[in-house]
Amino acid sequence: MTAPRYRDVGFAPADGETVLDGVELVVEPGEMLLVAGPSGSGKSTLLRCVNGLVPHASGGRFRGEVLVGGRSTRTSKPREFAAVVGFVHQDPDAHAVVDHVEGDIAFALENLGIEPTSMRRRVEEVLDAVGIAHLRDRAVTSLSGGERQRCAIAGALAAGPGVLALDEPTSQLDPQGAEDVLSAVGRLRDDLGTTVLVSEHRLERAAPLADRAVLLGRLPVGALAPGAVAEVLASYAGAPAVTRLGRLLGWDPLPLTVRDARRHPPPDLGAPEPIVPAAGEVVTAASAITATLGGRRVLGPLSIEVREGEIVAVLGRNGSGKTTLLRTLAGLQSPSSGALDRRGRTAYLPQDATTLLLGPTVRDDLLTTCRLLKRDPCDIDAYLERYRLAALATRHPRTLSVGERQRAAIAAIAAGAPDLLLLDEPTRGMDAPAKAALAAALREHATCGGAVVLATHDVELAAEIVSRVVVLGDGEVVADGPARATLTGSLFAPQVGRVMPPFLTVADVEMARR
Amino acid sequence: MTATHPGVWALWGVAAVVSIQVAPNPVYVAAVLGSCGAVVLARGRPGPLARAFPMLLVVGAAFALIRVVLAGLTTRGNGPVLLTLPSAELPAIAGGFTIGGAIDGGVLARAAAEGFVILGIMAVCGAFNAVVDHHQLLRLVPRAYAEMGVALSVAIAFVPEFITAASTAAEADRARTGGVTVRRGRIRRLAGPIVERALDQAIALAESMDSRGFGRDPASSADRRATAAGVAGLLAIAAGLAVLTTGESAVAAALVAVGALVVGGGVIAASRSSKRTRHRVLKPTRRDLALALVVVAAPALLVALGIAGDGTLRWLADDTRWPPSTALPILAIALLAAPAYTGRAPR
Repeated sequence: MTAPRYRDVGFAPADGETVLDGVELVVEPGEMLLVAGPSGSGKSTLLRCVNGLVPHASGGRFRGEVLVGGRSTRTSKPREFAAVVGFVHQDPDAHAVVDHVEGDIAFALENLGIEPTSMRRRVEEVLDAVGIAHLRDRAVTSLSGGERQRCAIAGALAAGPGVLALDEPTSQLDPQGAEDVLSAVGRLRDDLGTTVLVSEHRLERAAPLADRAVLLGRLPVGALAPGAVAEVLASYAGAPAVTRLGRLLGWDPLPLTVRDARRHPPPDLGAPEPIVPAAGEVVTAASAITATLGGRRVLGPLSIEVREGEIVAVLGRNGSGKTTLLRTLAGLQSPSSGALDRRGRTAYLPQDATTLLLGPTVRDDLLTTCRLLKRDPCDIDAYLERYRLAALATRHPRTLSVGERQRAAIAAIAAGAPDLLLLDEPTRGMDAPAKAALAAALREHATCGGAVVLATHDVELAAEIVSRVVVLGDGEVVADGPARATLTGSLFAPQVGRVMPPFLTVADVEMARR
Repeated sequence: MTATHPGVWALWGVAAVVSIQVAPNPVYVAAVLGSCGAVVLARGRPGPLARAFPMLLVVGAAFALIRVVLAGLTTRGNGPVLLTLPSAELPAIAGGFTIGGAIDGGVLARAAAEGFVILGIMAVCGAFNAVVDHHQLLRLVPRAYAEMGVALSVAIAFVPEFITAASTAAEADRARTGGVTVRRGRIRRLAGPIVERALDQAIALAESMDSRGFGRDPASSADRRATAAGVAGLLAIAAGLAVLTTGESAVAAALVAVGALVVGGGVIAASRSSKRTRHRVLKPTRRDLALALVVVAAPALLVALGIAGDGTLRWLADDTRWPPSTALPILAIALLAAPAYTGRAPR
């Protein structure tokens, strides 16, 4: 079993500030080490050092070295680590070289010159190890995100590396895909003894699986001390909701899972403050609409009304029609039957929001929307303020972090002064502070008389900010009602809601204790 | 039912194109088109490349139409006059020929027949791309060129990625305004994000390839010798072709033969020295060999018919009569549809 050892690693990109400074880290063989920390804290850089992608592929100023399997990144290039370290990029779209599952997995083996007979066996074993044997003959481009990411892991694993580095492997995935990927990784550690380094934002699933964790601050300096996961995450804002709940209520040991948390007796806090439903004017009303995609009905018939001042979350599994509902409400797709009454302007944030950002500055992106809509851009600064972008207004969108970019994209569509904001998966890849900033901006939009509908898998965020929850199943409305009533007792419930209902969030509990 | 060997598909494509060249009579070209259609219907693969057939058909039809219109407007013939348009003479600087005037039926028919040949060849290209497994096809390149094969493979995967990126960007552009499409400056607004995304993906892909050991063996001295041999061989072939124009065909043939031998030797030597291995290279089955024979029989029979004196293969249209045809060439061409009945499309 091999494990990487970081020696005095320092790095600054060619045109940026120092990211790591004199980092020392010893990873134990066969463990799963969780690397946590806010955006921009150097998680990716730390992982990319393992096989020398930093500095060999990234350029920039680098010092120190990482030793893995008797090689040093100082003298060896990433390709020479191919048999020792498997590396998986956070974007599963970018990984496949050959557009064929089996062929892509065999890619590394072909490069390493493995004998065809043992290559056949290895490909077979790896297919089973990550559970994608049934997809072997598919084109990689035809797979779902979770399947693609597992295919990428299989490709990294084929050469039998002792170390697997996963850079935010689930940030682009829905919960089911994330679950599949992480459980596959956990099995690799257990069955093959692979040393796993994984960086993550969404810790609800990853934290319980990890053996140890290390928390990166703004600028990691000197020796990093990985420790027990719960202890390391104790003070971290992005910790799982149950861990934050445990911290608030002084539970010891701190829970990492809902199961851990149930072992502690919940305090008697009475009932949480009721959420008053918004009762403004109707902004958009759909009655008995249906929508089709490629001749197949994917939505409806369903009826929904959105009122001023409301923030509505649309929940539901992949393919349940969330995106189609939003696109229909946005007027990007016309309903095949039923009546859609759109009063006022709507704006829609697609899943891949960065395609909205044209640059060269964040401010220009807001101005572009005004120009396209022939709207007077006099209140641009108010929008920059609301979306916490005032300090970033002159930056190029590409230089921002994922969370900041997402916020800039929302600000860009909001600058057209729509009454209804439709957001498709707005929190993908966001860390805790970025989510908090987004939540505040959306609340402000609602308070000022706007309405928000967001399709999301992020129940924790939904519980924080929404007043109403709509659950879709197979294109129909399964549940529609006030957030607390709909989420309490459901399998969708946020972590706190499962530990001490009817409270849904740590903020609820905090409020009740006052 | 197993997949057909990609080599057989390559052979099928060549056989179909040769058939069109040997028998450019529109009736026979239509028969080739029909065979292509049958093969695509039965054996088309899922995925974006399956759309290659209809797409190339449209492109071919557009070419043919342009050809007919241009020829009709600019070429005089001595066939029947269909109608007379007002004519205009271009200034000498633009060629000085006459546009419009009497439209000649014979000229139109010939242009249409020639355009139909283009359409036929496009259809074969489209059908080939719709049925072949490009991944398996690229595995057939000699080992020495495996890395070039990977580059091609990446390029092919780029097409669907690009289509996705373009439609995402177009959607985002409309989303920004809440469903209102602003046409002015749209291309410029869309191009930026598409190019950026493509660059991001290219960098990530390069890293993925590097992390998985691509290009880890430096070129050996055997590689360099093989490359030198390849270049020398290609030069010899080129020289042979140049000599051919002077009429010294014996010298030319000798030069080409020697060049081909040297290139072949270089490829074999380089493949021997390559440390790369292959995962599951498809071996041709008996069914594949039989299919290859049937498919090659089509152009071979056409050539034989031509030698035997079948005058209908080539048709020099000089009026608007229906082209003459006989049953035998059509039967020969029908052999090209054989792959439609030897396997099922992978779904």
